[in-house]
Amino acid sequence: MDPMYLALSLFRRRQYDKCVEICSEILEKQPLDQAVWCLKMRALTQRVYVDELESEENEIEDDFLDSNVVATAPRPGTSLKTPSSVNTNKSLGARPRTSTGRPISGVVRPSTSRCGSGLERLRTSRGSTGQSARAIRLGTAAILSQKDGPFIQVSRLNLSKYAKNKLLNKSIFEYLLYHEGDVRNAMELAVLATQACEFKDWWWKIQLAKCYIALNLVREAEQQIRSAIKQTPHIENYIRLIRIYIRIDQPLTATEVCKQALEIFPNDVSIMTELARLTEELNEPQASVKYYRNIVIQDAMNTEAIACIGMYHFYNNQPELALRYYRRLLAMGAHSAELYNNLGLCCLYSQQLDLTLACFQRALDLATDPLVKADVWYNLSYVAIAAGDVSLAIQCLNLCLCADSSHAPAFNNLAVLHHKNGKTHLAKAYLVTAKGHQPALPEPVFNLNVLQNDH
Amino acid sequence: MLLNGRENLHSASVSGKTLKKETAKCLEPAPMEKFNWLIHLQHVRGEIGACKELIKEEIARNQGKHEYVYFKQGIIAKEEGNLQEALEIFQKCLKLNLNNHRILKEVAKCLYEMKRFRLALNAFLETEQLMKSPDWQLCYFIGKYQRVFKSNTSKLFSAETYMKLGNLEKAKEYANKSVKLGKQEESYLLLIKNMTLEKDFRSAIAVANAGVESCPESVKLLTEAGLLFLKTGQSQYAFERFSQALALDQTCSRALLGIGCITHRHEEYDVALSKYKIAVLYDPESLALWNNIGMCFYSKQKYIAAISCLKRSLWLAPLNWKILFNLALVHLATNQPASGFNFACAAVNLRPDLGDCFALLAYTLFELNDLENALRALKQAHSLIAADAFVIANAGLLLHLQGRNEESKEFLLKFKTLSEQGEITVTNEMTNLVENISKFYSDNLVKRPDVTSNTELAEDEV
Repeated sequence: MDPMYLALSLFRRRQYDKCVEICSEILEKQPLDQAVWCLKMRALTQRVYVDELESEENEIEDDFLDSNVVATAPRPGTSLKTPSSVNTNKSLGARPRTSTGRPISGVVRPSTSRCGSGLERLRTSRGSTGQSARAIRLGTAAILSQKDGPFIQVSRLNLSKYAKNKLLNKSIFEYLLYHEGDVRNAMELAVLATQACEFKDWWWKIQLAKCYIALNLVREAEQQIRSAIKQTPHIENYIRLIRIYIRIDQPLTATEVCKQALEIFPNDVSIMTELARLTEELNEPQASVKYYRNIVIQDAMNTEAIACIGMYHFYNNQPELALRYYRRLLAMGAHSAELYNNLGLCCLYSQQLDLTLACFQRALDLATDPLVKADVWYNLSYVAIAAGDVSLAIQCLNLCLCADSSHAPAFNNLAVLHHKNGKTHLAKAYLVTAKGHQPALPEPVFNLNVLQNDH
Repeated sequence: MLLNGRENLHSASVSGKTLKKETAKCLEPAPMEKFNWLIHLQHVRGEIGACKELIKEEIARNQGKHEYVYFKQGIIAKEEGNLQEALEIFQKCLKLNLNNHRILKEVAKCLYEMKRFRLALNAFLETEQLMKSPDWQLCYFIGKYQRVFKSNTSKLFSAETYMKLGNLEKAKEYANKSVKLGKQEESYLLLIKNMTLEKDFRSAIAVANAGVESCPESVKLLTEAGLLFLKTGQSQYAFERFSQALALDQTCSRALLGIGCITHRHEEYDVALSKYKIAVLYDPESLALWNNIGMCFYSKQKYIAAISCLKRSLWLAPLNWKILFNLALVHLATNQPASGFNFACAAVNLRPDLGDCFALLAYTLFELNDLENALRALKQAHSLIAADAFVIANAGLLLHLQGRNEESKEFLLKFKTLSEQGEITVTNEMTNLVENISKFYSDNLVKRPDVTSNTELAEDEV
C-alpha cells in the first residue's frame, strides 16, 4: 500500500501517533515532500488540540493584574466579579452561593471554577490550573515526544514566505499555536497572512484574536472579532465575542451580543446556553430557566439545561419536579456521583426515604474526587438531621471533613450541632474555622454574632 | 461644648478690651484651646475632612499636648469604624489627663466594641470610681441631668458587659441601677432580658410595664411586654400591647406574629392568616411565622398548603422539634402514617424528654397497625407526662384492643379518678370513648369503640 495513502487514512481514523511515524519515514526518504510535511504537522497538531471554547479557564492573574477591567467599583448587577450584595441577608435559607457570592450552578462548567477568583484560590490554598499553565504543559509535552530534535525549527522558519502560501499557512499557524505553544511567532504569521490575503479572510482575524487573548490584549481581540463578524456572522465568532466581554467583566454587553446573535441564528442552542449561563450568574434565575427551557425544546438531550432546570426547581421548594428532571438525566445515561447525590437529596425532600440512602450509597461508590465525596457526606448529614439523629450527623460531617479539610459549610454545621449538644466553646472554635476557610459565607458570621449576644 | 462656651466668653471680653490691652495680648501665647469651638462645630456639621485637617494642624501647633483635640480625633476615628486607631488615640489622650472619666469611658466603649469584654469591664469600673472621686466633683457644673445620663450609660454598658461574660447576678444589679438612674429604653430591655433568662416572668412584666409607662413610643418595649404577657397567658393584655406597637410601626413582624398567634388561639383562622401574611412579607425567613401559617392551614383543613408551609419552615430550621411534630400531625391527618412516623421519630430523637412526641409516635404506630410498639411509646409518654388525659385514655384503648383487659381497666380507673379530681381537662369525645370501653366491659358486648381521639390538636405557637 502506498505509505502516503496509509498515513492519510490513519489521520482520518484519528490514529495520529501512527500517522506521524509513517510521515517521518516518508520524510526521511523525501525531505522536501510538502504534502507529507503538512500532514505530519496536522497530525501533531490534532494530537494536542484542545477546543479552547469548551475549556476556557480564567487565568490566575486576571483580577489583580488586569488593566482591561472597565470599572473598579461597578454598579450592582453589572459585574460578575464583585460578590452580589443583593439581599444576601435575606437569602440565608435560599439557594447556596459560591465563595464569590454567585449563585451556585446546576452543572460544573469549564468556566465555573470551583473556588472563584484567583485571589480567592490563593487564599484558600487550593491548587489551580490556569490557561497559561496548560499552554506550558502542552509545549513541554510536544518537545518530549520528539526524541531526535524538534520537527520544525521555528526560529529558522521563513514566516513571510509561508504566510503567502494559502495551502500551508493555516496548518503552520495551528502547529505553532497548539503544538509549539509559541504565541508570538504564531501571531507574526497571522499578521503576515492577513496582510497577504488583504484582510479578506475572517478566519485569520479570529486566529489573531486568539493570539491577542493569549497575550492578554483583550481589546485588540475584540476589534478583530467584531470585524470578522462583520464579514461572516458565525456562531463561533459570536461566542468568542461573548467570552471576551465576560472576561473583561461586562456581562450586560455580553447579554446584548447574545441577543444580537440570536436574531441572526434564532434558537441556536450554544448561544442560548451562553445567555442562560450569563443570566444565571447575574442572579436572575427565572430568566435563566426560561432560556434553559427553550434549549430543552430545541435539544431534548441537553444535559446542562436539564440539570439547571432541575436545580432551579429544587431550590424553589419543588423537589418532586426536580426529581423528574434528574431522573431524565439518569435515563439519558449520565452516571455520576453528583447526579446520584442530587437524586438522593430530591428523594429526601420529597419524602421518598426508601430511595434516599440507596442513591447516596451509589454516589459514595462513584465519588472518586475527594471534594465530591466530601459533598456527599455533607448531604448525608442532612439525611441524619432529617431523622433527628444528631450524633450520626456529626459523624457524617466529620467524614466530610476527612475528605476535604477546608469545607466551610461542614464546619459551620458541626458548630451548630455541637452547640445544640451544649458544647458552646467547641462550636465557637468550629465557627471561627469556618469563617477562616470561607470568609464570604454568611452563616458562620451570623452564628458567631448570635453566640456572642446570647452567651 | 463646654470649653466652647467659655472660649466664646473669653473672646468677647477680649474684644471689649482690645484697645487697652493690645500690646499685652500680643505677648500672651495663643491659648491651646483656641480652635476647640471650630473643631466641635465642624464635627457636628459633618465636615469631617476639614475637621481632620484642623485637628492635624492643632496637634502640630500644640506639640501633642492638647487633650480635647485628641479626644475629638478619637471620636471621629470611632465613628468611622477604625476602632483600633480610636483606642490608641484615646489612650494617648488618657496619658495627658488620667482623671478624665469621659476619656476613660470612651476607651472602655472602644474595648467593648472590639469585643474585649473583660478589659472593657475593668475600664468601666475604673470610670465609675473616677466619677465618685472628688476629682470628678470639680467638673460638677456639667449638670445633674448630664451626670445621671452619663453614669447611666456607663452602668448600662457595664451591665451588658457582665452579661456577655455570663455573670447574670452582677448584670442584673447594674441594669437595675441603670434603670433607677435614668429611664432609658435600652436599660429596660436589658433588665427584661436578664429576668427572662432567669425565668422570672412576673418581675419582667412589672419592669416592662414600667418601661412602657416611661417610654410609651418604644416599639421594642411594647412588643417585648406583649410577648411576656403571651408567655404568661394573659392574652388580653398582650393583645393591647401588640396593637399599640403596631399602631406605631405597622411593619413590626414580631408584633404581627403575636397578634396572629392570639387570634389563632381564638380560632379566627382567616384573621390570623392575614396577619401572618403581612408579617411574612417583612420577615420571610421566620420559622415561627411559617410554622404558624402551616398550622392555620391545617386548622382550615387545607393540608397540602399546610405541609408545604411547614416544610419551608423545616428547611429553615431542620433541628426544630416543634415543626417536626406539626408535620407528623398533618401527615397523620392526610392518612400518610408512614411519613408521619418518620417525622414523629425525628422529633422523638431530637427531644427524648418530651412526652408529647412519644404520644404522637404512638398514634402514628397505631395507624400503622403496630400495636405492640404503639403501646410501648404510649407508656413512655405516660412516664414522662403522667397527668395527660389523652395519653391515659388512649393507653386504655390500646390495651383493650390488644385484649389486655386488666391493665386497660387500670388506666380507665386512673382516668376516672383524675377527671373527678379535676386534675385533667376532659373533652366530651374522650368521655364518650372511655364510657364506650367501660360499657364494653360491663356489657361484655363485642363492639369496637370509635377511635377518634387519636389526633390530638396540638398547635405549637412559638
